[in-house]
Amino acid sequence: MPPTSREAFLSTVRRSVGRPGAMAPAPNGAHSVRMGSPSTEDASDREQLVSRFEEEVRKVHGVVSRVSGSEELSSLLGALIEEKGIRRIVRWDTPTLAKLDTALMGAGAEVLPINLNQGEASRTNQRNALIEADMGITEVDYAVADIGSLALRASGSQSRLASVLPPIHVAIVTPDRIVGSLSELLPLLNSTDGLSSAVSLVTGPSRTADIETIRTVGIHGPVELHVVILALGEE
Amino acid sequence: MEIKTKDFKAGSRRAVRNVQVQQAARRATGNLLRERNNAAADLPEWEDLRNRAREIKAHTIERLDEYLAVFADSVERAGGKVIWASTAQEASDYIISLARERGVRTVVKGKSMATEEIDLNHKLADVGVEAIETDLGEYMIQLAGETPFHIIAPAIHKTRQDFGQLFSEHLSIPYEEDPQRLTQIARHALRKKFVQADMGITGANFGIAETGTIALVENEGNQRLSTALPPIHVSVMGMEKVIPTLQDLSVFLALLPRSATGQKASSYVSLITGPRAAGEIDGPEEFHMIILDNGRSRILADEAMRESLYCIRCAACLNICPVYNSVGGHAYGWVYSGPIGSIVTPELVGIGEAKDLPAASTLCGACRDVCPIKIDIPHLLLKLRHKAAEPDISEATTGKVSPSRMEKWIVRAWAASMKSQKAYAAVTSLARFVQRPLLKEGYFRWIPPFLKAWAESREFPSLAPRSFRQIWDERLSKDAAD
Repeated sequence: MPPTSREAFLSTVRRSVGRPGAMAPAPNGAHSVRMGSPSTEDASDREQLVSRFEEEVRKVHGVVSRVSGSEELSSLLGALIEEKGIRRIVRWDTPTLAKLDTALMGAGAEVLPINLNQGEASRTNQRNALIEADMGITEVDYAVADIGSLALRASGSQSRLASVLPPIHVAIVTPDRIVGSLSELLPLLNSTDGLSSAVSLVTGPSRTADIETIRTVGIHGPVELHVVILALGEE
Repeated sequence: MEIKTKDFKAGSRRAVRNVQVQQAARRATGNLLRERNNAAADLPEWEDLRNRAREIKAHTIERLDEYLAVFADSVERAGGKVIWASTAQEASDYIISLARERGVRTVVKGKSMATEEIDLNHKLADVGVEAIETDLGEYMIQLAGETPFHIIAPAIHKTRQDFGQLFSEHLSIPYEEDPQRLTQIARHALRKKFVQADMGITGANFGIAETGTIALVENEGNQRLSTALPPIHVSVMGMEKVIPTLQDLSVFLALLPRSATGQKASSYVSLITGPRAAGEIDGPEEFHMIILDNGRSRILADEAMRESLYCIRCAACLNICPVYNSVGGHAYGWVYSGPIGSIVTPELVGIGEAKDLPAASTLCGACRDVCPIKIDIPHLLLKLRHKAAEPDISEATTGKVSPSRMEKWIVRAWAASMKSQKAYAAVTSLARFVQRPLLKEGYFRWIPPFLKAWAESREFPSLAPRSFRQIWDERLSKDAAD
């Protein structure tokens, strides 16, 4: 049976609604509902936002650390690579993450930045690398303090799969990217260049409670989520 | 999915005798409800959010034609294709012909009640396409050949031993019953399917008109993989799921996970807007948005029932319902169970097919109190009971002359005697006299034949020798005398 035409479908709906006349303005989402604290530029408020974020990520079984500068970040990741026996890493192709390559390789891992530059032929290679990887590293677009969530946009340098296929996801967050609540985040996602085809909001590792309501992790996405808050003080 | 809603009574009888079902249902619903209550109590603006959500839903549903048009335009602007399916058949036919055209052999599916509703898996299997449920619970019930037991926890009636045995049989691996290891086994088995899949099919928790975005709310990550790995993504969305703006989503993302599992946020929310855009690395090349009516416009046309379209499928009403907790999800006989299922099912499959469902409620009102959108479920159930009692429906489905005329007479007499104290006193003192030969140990041992079905599951105690009012009056006059 072929699908209904748009006109026929919508005219059935219109008849069912039984409402002639024009569209009224929409009630405005969360504006009147305060969710969490609004973000401000005050330094102590910013610190409060960061600690709230830390606390919420821990509640959802994410591992949080704070580092200042790429050097500290490199040694933290180096230690993680050794501890977990990581061999293959895929990462977003951002300037901050590019600086880490030497250290990551020094710790004994292969690192592949996922991007469009390598042409169509290497699309398959990249896909395979994503599937095989032990760890994916991203630099999040935003983070949400009151629920401990990360927001990851898809783009030419930001692979969707890098944060979901590997069993370990390391997400780098800079404090200026942390907002108070979802109602602050959502307009930001749609502001500058419009929404990308995919935005993933990530809160803790992949989990399920489908077996006897017992919580288990890593059913499809990462088994572990490491959130590293990177303060760029001296750079 | 086959409609077995007529068997509700038999199904319930089976379920209340099944210890495993009883224990599983209570364990699941008890845990979920406790978490939900904590989460709701934790948020000072909870009531504001519920009111706001209801306002948004009411506003959108009243103008659904216009918001659907805006949504469709936005999806198309983002490069997606929009398909309007008036019936389940139209939706599944479209997917089947698309699968054939593209040479699809393996489909990975995210959990979706809409695709259960259109019975997609069986229809794909009939044409040789393997459709694999990838949500752990859905995967389990697919292996077991069953249907979802609960809207958000489909395999909650299964034990870890059940999982272990079925995994061992189907995947040819040694038996294992540790939940974390079983989870890893499923991860590896399903990861292979994700990698080889030619098509991903999901539902949609919300469709955002402003941007043409669908929001997928989940904990496992299978929706993320289904929408990122295969070259084609098909989403099937009930037409009532549209909301106006992205900003509105924050209200629903606060309510849905808290009401469902007590989480402040689910592990993942995917906001999908069309297929992979130019200049992006990964994601599908095609995005097909199927907007499904399948009886929803009938609900929409009935102003009394319209608010049942506000439902966001959190399942909180199942968890709190004394009837669901006793009979479990399978007794309801179709996709949607519990209090909201007792409304949606008769509306979608026809009241004649599901007459018993609106009666499967004590009307205690707990479902209305727990509903994040404040849907007045008990009131809607009463409306449906009224509909089910309409003579044409009873006669059409039972083939017998409806008992409703007799019922009407009894209810009228009852109403008359309850409206006047004198009439009530007269009727009850007459009844006290008449009941004597019919009693045995304080209960009626003979029930008029036309009340048999009603009395089957109820006890009829006799009227007390003296009424409360008589005793009260005696005491008062005694006190006055003292």
